[in-house]
Amino acid sequence: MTIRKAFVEGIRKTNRSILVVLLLFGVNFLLAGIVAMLFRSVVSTSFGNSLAPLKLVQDFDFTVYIDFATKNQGKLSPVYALIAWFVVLSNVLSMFFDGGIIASVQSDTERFRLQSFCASCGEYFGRFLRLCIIVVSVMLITGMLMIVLSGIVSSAIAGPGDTEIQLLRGFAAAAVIFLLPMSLIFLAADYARVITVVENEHRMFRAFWHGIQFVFRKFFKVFTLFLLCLILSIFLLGCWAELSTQVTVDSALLVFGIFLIQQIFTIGRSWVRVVTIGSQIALYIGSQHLVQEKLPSVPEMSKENTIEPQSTPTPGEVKGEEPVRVRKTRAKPRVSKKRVESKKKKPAVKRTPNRTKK
Amino acid sequence: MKQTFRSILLILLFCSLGVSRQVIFQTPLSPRLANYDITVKLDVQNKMLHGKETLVWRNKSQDNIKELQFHLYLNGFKNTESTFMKESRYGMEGIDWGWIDIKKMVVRDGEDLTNKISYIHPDDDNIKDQSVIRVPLTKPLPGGSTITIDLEFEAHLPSIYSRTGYEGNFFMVAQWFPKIGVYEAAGDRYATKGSWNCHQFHSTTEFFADYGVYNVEIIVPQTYIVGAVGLLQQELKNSDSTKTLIYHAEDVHDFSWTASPGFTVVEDQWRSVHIRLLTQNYKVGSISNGYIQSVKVALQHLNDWVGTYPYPNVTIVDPPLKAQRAGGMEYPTLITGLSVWGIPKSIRMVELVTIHEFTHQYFYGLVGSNEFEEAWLDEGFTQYFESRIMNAEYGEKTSLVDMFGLNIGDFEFNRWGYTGMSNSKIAPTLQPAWQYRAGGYDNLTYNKSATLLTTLERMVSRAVMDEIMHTYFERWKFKHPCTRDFIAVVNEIVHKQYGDKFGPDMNWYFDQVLSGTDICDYELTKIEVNELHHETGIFEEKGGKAPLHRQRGEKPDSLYESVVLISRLGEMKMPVTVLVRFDDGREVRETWDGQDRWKQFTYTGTSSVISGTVDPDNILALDINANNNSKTVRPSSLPFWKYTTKFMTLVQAILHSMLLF
Repeated sequence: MTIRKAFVEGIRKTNRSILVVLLLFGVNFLLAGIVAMLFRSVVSTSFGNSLAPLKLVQDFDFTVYIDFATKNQGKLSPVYALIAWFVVLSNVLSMFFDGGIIASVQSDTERFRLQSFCASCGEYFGRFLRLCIIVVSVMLITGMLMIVLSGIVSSAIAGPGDTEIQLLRGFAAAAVIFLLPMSLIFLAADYARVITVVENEHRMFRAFWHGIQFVFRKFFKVFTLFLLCLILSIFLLGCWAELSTQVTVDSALLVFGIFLIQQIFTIGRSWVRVVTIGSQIALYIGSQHLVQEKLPSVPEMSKENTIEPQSTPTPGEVKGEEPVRVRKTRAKPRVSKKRVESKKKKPAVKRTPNRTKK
Repeated sequence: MKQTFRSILLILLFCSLGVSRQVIFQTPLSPRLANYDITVKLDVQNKMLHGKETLVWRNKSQDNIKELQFHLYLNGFKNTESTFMKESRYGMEGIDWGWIDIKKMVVRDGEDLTNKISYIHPDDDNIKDQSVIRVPLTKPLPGGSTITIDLEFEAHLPSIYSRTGYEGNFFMVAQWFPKIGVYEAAGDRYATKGSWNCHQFHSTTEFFADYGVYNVEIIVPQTYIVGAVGLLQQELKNSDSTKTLIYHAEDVHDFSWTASPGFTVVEDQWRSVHIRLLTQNYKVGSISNGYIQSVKVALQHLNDWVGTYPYPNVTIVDPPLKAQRAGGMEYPTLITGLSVWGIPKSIRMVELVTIHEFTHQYFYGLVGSNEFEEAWLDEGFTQYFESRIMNAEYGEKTSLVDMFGLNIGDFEFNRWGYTGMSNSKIAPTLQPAWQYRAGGYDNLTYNKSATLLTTLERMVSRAVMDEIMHTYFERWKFKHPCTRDFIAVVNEIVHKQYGDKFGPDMNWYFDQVLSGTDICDYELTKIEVNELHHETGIFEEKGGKAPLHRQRGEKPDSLYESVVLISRLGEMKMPVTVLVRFDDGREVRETWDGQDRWKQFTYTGTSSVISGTVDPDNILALDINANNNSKTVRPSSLPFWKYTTKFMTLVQAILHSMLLF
């Protein structure tokens, strides 16, 4: 599976699950809307019937803003507090929705159904919560180590720090040293979630470990895909920022028009998020296919543990691909028969085209 | 032939050495009371200065002076117990302390004063402070006579803590030599009897000195590039890998210099003024252009608005990154700037600092007010003109920051420095700088002063303000004016232009804004519109009962009573204008002397008031809350929706970006 194909596949899967995109956007819109209404209420009450806000229509007016900020210190604190809480809440909701999103996006056959989406959300939430605890712990430990390491390296690179350029180099080195491992952990967590759903993995340490293994094995592809999606997301954010600075919004119609356009960009960011997940699923499944196609030992495995391809790989997908080492654990049943049977009763498992089947 | 050639060369060399120093001004511009000849050698290894100084000082008073007083500013950096350091209370860790010792002090052809030196503490009781000395004279110095004193001194430069010192091989040598105080005779400024004005070095104070001529020979390693006050007259290479640079400055009241092998020199010219920038190689380009351009625009505007810059040159020092504490300082014909490579051009930091420091050439350099006692006369004036120049060049609303839709004008930012204070009543602006013990020095000296001058300008018009500033400058350049002198100029010009429009004088204004701590805050408290009933029914009149009624279906014109209530929330009393708008498009301008606590305007008619604005022309820049100056009965929700939707999309972006999972 090439990066391009994974990305295109991600787009295809996302476009098929456009309701998921709208759901993500809807949640984002709702939370931000609540904050915005509180903001509006505080600001309009503080200004009262003053004419001063009219100076803000044509352009930003520092004097109006700063007089407002100085005389109403603390009045916007509840708004900022609400944003902080909503950041936490949106992370929890994201964790909740991830199971449903991955399950929906990875399915090539089924149409989006809210009921099964919600069922998947519920099914994987507990697992993702455990995964979150593991990932946060790993990030904290790694983060602390990287702060020390990046400090040492950046001070070595910045040298005496006599010029801003030296400092900038040191800072850039520190940023790379800190951000690269953190990005890899994020990516490992992403793929751990994909593995959890695709492989119906229950052991989150194991899923995370496999995520790490996958990220390192397919480092170039994983990271390039990540950068591609990140750049796309930043591009959309940049478009939004540019739009808000370039257009003079001085009428109700323009306010509404710009708001609509900005919401389209925001939908675009939700779309990119689902595309990212779709691409990651495509890359993971595509890579696992190759293992089965290339390795002669796979057919010899126990029938119960063979990997069942989801779709026939195209010749291009196989060509030029290096075989991936199959994890030893894959050949062995990871759960007891009893447990697997009990899992089979759950509708979500039936719906999910797991590749480890009895 | 060779021998003859050598002889000619030697004669030429001798002549060149002996050539009299180039005269800058044919006629002295100042009284030239304190004149210095100094030879100083910089020991770059040990950060030491070894100096010899000859001071020729004239007693311009009629008093017999029995003692001399000198500043030893470098002793402010001597230890944690100096007044400067005790007041600073920050960042002393790892400081390499600085100090200055007078090794020898003798009156030319007279007594040896070395052992008579004692430290004094005219501002506080800090006996450990050694920033001021007194030297009693056995033979008092008669009025009008001159004394010549020869000194030898040794100084250790501190690591740069504030303005002066070293960082690596960069040296900013300021306030470095024994400097005589100012003797004020009765009638000078506020003096009622003759006395020395020689304050200790405080963390918030700057300087005060008499004008004079400086001849300074600076000996540094040959690889070092030097910048200094005045004009470079000669550069001689010495046999010990050092060089001697001879500087000459006339009609200045201070001398500072800088030296570093790391400087890159950029030169330019504005009319007859030579501009020399000492910066770092990697800053040549947009940063160096920013410096040069800023000096040019400042020269242009200050020449137009205030008066002629008389000196032939100006040197700008751009301190290296680690020596930024030397930045943002003014000396005669030499300023230090501040720049950070990589900061977007739309944040005009270089321009702001350079224009500010160059403006000090006028208000500090040319008009020599006492920075210890009346800091607003230099910092406030400078801040006021900094805003004017910045706004004229880069836009009133965009002169400081202009990026991503965030626009901040320089004056707006200055005003905020005052109006945004947690307690703007903490101290009056007119008080000695070291007495801001509870804080507020920067905000009240820089920001409030600039705001009160802007308010004055808006009251009397810019043209009249320019006339005030020009008159003040021409009358007081190369002298030591005080606040009273400035107010006298204001009163004179305002009265000339407006008669008694603002009262017999403007003291009422300065009493409030300079000596007082009151705040200015006017509010449009209420607009109330009531529809009045038309008179109908039976009324008693002379001729009997007179029915007054309308036919059924006849609709009378509505009659309204509109009440506009204005309140004075602050203690400061200022005359204000009120603009009242009616629903038929009519506008009425009312005036109020602003003396009472409130004022009510009532209008009865067929049109009703829809809005009112106190100070519609934004004259009262001192008003700490301009947002409460207006009210309308028909508020628009457009601005709220505009910023609510902006805010919402920002929150959406935050929620998106902060997703960890």
